[in-house]
Amino acid sequence: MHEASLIQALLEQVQDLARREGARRILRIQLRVGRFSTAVPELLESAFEILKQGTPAEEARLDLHLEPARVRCETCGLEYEPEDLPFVCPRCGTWGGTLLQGRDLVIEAVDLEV
Amino acid sequence: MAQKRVVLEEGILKSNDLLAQKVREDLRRRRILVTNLLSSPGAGKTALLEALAQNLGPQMAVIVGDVQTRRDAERLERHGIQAVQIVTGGTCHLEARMVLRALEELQGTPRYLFIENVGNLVCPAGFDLGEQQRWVLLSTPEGDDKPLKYPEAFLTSHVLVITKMDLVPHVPFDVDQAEAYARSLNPRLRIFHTSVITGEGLEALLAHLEHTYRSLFPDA
Repeated sequence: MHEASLIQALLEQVQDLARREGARRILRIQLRVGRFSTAVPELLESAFEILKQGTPAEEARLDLHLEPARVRCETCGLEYEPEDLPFVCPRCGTWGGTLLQGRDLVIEAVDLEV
Repeated sequence: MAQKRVVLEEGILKSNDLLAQKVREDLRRRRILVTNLLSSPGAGKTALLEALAQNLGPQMAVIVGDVQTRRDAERLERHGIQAVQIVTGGTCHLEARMVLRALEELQGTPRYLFIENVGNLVCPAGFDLGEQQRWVLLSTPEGDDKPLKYPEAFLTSHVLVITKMDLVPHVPFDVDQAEAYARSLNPRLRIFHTSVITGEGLEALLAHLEHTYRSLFPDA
């Protein structure tokens, strides 16, 4: 349950941005959440609803862009989207591979009222 | 009133990552190898550190995080090593700013600094503490499928230590299976087997520490 810490960090970051941009309010935050980012989307949403109170993001919407995982098979080189664990290459059947994408927790865009 | 969209593409943990970078640079300058230890509660982080302390003595120091009490620091101090306790008061993981604060209390220049994270296989995996290497511990009574159930800790670690190897005859734990699951997530994972009861694997782990230290600080 570290989602509250993550949202706290998010709110600090977007408030810094709002100050830099001279914005009065934050209207929308678009966050990319990787499949293996350690964060649970639903818990991010509920932490956001609670922690945004009393901040310039009080009326903001949090849009989550869920990022699927991508794995590269180290045997045949295929890049694929794994469905479950363990990773199994759909072409050659090799177990495991290198995770190329899916660990992000990235603020993609913020809408401000200026 | 006007609306403006700012495309940011910035990590949510940017402020933590900046502090972690500060920890990493500071300790690199002081030629201290920092290892972040992750595991479930009770996997044997403190016991492993106690066993390493028997060999390394005051060359090592520990920053230890727990939700409450300084019991682990007291346990480690009994072995004549320096231990700085971080009591998180409820937080389920350590963050770089807590480590930065704890470093103010650290005296002298140990060769090896271990950060014993809060016992939790999920949340600590998300936070860079400025370590040079991350170890994940998996104890045999926990079951060999832990890597698949808690992938992030295994994805982000450099070393897997399978602890409590002396219990293998008594628990349903398939060592090869556990290793295959862990390597399926992270092909570059180095794996060690240890038991603080029999002493198995401790020498190999000490050799790994020495080797990592020398490759990081060749002129030390």
